[in-house]
Amino acid sequence: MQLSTGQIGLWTASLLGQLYLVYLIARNRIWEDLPVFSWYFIINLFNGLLIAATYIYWGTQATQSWSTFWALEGVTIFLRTMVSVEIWRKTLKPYPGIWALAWRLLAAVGMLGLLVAYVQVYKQHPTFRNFMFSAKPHLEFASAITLIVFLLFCRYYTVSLEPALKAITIGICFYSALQGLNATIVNHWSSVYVPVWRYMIVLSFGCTMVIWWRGLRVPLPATERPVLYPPEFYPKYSLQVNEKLRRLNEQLEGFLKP
Amino acid sequence: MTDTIIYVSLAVVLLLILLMIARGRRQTSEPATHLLPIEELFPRHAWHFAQIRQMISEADLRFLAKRASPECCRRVQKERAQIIRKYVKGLREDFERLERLGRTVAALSPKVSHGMELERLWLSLRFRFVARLLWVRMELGVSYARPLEQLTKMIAGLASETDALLAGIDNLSAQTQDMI
Repeated sequence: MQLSTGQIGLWTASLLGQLYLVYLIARNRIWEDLPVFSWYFIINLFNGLLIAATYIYWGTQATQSWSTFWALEGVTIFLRTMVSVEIWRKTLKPYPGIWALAWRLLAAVGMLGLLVAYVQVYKQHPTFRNFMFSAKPHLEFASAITLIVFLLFCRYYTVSLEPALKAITIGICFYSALQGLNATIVNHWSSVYVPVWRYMIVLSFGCTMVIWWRGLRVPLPATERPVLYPPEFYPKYSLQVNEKLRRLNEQLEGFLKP
Repeated sequence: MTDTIIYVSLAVVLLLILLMIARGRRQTSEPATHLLPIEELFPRHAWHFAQIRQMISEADLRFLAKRASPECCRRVQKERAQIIRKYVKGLREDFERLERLGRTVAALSPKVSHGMELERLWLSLRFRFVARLLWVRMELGVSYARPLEQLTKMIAGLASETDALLAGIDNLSAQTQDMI
């Protein structure tokens, strides 16, 4: 089966959108600040071209097209994870205290996601060829949840995210959540859903690109390093603040006692 | 099928949270490189303690019941309840301000205690939950005069302690800036 005219049109539009983003990355020198993201985007662009070529050459139902698509999906998911790590480091590394907390928290959430993915995939006994097909929804959800935790963490500690970094994070998270949903549905109703599934991949990536365009319109500002307090500062004052909060809580809870 | 429903629900929840984060309160454009001005962190509502204590005194109500018509008493009660609700909301703001102070200190410290951070998060979740529960009780007309008086006294006490704490932080901040 060959690609429909609609699908070819959508792929062409997506390709043009990706080229525009490559132009923004080059013009605003984003690659200097975010090398992993820039590499991810360029590799993703070539992956898209490669998949399009396999569909045109072998058709969408061929085994070769299937294998190529899922092998490249594995590469893309791995690179997307690396982009997330790059953004976490860039945002939180200047705050060494909470960075030590954040990376442990994010690693724990990510590992838990991988564990759930492993258990779920193991239950399905997939063949080697179908491994990525079965693993994809779980990996995408693990990625989206980790990014949500990161965004909530930044919000909790009022760490400001640069608009470009926020846009990339929200874009990846949005795409991962939609892909998780898309992959879940295709896993269960593959025969009827496959054509919609293909449209959904390109459309959700298109929406993600719009989010990225907005964030990457301007170059990243120079990172302002925060002025940190001396090490003895935290134990002294945090203890006092927590003590006050604890007393306030006890008092408030006293209201509810008869 | 159950798995599919769980995963579809999870995707919807994730997208909703993401939408809330993206659309919600804009983060300050200024990064958390310093503390807020001291006056921004100081508990403000506790200062109105004296007026509120006067307002919630049972003697005052008894006096009013003797002198005014029942309708007037009801109106006064209603207005008092409204003011007290606002006051409790204000106390919650005081709590949040104090909590924010703790988070900012953590963000700007080279090393933090994971236990203390978790404790603060837990205290904050608990406070919000109990405050919401209290709110419901007030809406249901449960008496609040005595416990509120206790809370207000305590916040007033906290206000003076916080003043000393913030003065110390301010002093240390100034010393840190001087060193740079």
